[in-house]
Amino acid sequence: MNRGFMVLALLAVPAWAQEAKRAQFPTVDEELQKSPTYQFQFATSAGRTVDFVQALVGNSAHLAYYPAMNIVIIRAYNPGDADKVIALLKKYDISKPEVEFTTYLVMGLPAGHTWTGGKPLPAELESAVEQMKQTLGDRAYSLRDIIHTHAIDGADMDSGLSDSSAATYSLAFDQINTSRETKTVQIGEFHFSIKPCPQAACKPVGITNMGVVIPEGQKLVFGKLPVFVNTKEGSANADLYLIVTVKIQDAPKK
Amino acid sequence: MNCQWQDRIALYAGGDLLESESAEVERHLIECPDCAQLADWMAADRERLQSRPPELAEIDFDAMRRELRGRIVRGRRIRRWAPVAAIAAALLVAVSIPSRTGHRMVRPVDPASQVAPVPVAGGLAKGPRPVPAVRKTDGRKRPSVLRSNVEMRLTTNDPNVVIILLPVTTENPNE
Repeated sequence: MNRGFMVLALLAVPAWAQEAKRAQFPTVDEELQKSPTYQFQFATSAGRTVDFVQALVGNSAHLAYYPAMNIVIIRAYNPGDADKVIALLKKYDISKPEVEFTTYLVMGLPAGHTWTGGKPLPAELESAVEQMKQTLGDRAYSLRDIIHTHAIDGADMDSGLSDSSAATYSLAFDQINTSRETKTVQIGEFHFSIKPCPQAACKPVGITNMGVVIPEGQKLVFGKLPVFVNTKEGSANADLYLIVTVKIQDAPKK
Repeated sequence: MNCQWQDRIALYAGGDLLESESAEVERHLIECPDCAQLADWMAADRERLQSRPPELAEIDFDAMRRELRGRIVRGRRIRRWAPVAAIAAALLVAVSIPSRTGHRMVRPVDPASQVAPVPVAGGLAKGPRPVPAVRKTDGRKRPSVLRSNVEMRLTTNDPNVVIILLPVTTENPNE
């Protein structure tokens, strides 16, 4: 009898320990009830703001951010510090700017070839194409396509070109950091690849840049991808260039 | 042999007895041929133990020393030239990468050899423009494809135009 009672008592120990553990660590709801909180207005930059404010306040308070609720719980060690932390969070609760990327796909052909599929070059590319003519070997340039996209932290897209070819592309801007003061956009990783035809044997070719800063108004030319094209004169090995421009969107009002 | 002098003979053979004791043992050895033989054996054993062991006699220590010294010197030579060799290899790789990844090395698609030749558009698009599937990312690094750090930044006369030539990579669509 005593042995059976002992076995039952030992079996109950894990359950008791579990209860004790629950009592030791309060749930998020309990924390929300007893600790001051702050709800962010701009969720996209909340994580960075929490890190920044945590670094400012040091060990005087501990900030716990819950992205699902967009709420940060403040555990301050001295009375009154929580209000200061909330004031800091409110001050730096600003949106991360959205960047408009415009990517022009420009074809460069060797001398003696004319590509009938080209579109006229827009006026904003005149200066860039002039420099390309002076610097690069290709003789004639024409526009193939324009890709517009907006991004905050990064953007990754796959699509087909707007011309009648079956070419598909993949374009990515990753690890974007923006400065409104200097009007510059830092791209941690840029990648573009094009697959000229849908057949499995037709492999995509791509280019990757691991870090570049583009100021507003600058035309950044990335190149060059080999593309085989049919021209009036027959066929030719052409070069595909990407001219990237950025525009930082205005900050939304609080 | 059953002689009470055995222990003293062993000490005598080892040279551990005083002069007077040794003389006494020597007198006994003249009288006792068994003890004299024992003393001879012990003396012989002692001499053999003091000389180089036979298993070591076959090892040529001089040759071993020369071999070790040669290895040390060769190792030093390799270590001395290793940075130079590394720099030379890096330069060779840096020079060879552009030619390997340059667009001339990527064989253009020959329409004649394709099952279904896909020429680039001869005119503007007639159908609706395809809508790109844009995925907003969280800024994390994307899975890498084959990459090279070799790139060329070309200077232009216009400060607002920057040209960067990047190495072209052929990607595996199945990855």
